[in-house]
Amino acid sequence: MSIPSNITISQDVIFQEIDGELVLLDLQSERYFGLNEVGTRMWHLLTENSHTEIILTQLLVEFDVDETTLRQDVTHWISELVKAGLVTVNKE
Amino acid sequence: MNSYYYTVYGLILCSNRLLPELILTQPPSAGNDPVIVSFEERSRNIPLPPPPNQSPYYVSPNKDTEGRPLVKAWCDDNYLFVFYLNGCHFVISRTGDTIKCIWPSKIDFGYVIAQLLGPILGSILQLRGILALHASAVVVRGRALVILGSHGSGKSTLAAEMNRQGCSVLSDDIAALTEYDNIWMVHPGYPRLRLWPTSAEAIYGPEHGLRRIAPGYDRWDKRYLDLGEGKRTFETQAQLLRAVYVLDWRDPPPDVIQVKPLLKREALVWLDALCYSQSNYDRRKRAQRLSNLERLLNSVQVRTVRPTADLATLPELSSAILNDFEDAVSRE
Repeated sequence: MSIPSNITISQDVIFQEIDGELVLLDLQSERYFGLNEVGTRMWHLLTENSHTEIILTQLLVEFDVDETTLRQDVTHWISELVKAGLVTVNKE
Repeated sequence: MNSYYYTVYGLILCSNRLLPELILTQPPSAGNDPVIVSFEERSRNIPLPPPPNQSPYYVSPNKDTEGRPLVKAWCDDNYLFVFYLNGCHFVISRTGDTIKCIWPSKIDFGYVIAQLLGPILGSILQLRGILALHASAVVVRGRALVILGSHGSGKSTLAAEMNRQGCSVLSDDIAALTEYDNIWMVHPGYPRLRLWPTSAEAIYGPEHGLRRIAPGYDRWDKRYLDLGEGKRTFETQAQLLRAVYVLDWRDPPPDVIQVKPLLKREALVWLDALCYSQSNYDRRKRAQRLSNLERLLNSVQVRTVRPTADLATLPELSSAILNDFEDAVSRE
């Protein structure tokens, strides 16, 4: 599976940080989602930039992880967010 | 036309009808705008206003025997329209300043008031930017203890038992919270608790003598426990919030009552999910509410409570929470 190059946070999602972790709320479904520390950082980067390559580059700087593993993790993370309706993939 | 002023949940209501359930107060000073509540009883022959031409933002999960939802709500730019299947209608201005209550003659006025004092004023509080939790509250050693729970979770029953054990009741069904300089206060409701007959019997025995709230409406059998006399005390002043206890009835219920701390992110979800006005009609206000709750959780302890399935353990449940709360207060 390849990583989508451009994604956007759904307009129905609001979020709140608490004790260093994010709680996301999808207003359409009234479902809540929790993100851990790394997920929280990825989400914050996503609020600033929709280009996943830029997010990956920044995460490589901040976390002690090899690029292959990070790419796999971010790909999985984004697919989970898409499945939950929290982000949408923008067309190329 | 006469106007009567009442205080409830930190609001001042100006009503065109006497509301003996509430505490009378003086007309407010300039700048402290009351909520104008107008009542309009209608005969069966006069049609009620139709709902706005759009999808409801709220449809109650509770349905009648034919599968029709008991409550639906719509909104337009200026008003929320809350329509009950039994014919009671409430039209609420989105500024949180006015409520129009319309109901058919066949419905007991006590039922109309019960809805006004619950979900309708819950919506008004939310529209005014005041946190309104699905909760009852009691006072212990000068601090407010809030019991949070979904519909039918036993908040009022537990508050009644705590009252029997010596606590003053501060509010039933709604805990209205305001904050100043990181100090959160819970405002008093009205001097009554609303109980189902089974709860009244569990606490006071089969001869509980509690009167029906709506004696002319057979389909609703809730009772009033009157407060403010003798040992059944009611607190009329806002109190400092110290702790929130969430009633968690996940299956299976435990064999022994459990009182445990919650992670802040878990507490945030519980509190937000159990605020009044769960609808998404105002994204900005929902985001503001999450932010307010985050600040609340920096100064208030939240515990989850898992009761046993046996109503006979109600005194132990009350004692377990009160002991935990007293520990927290004594550590201040």
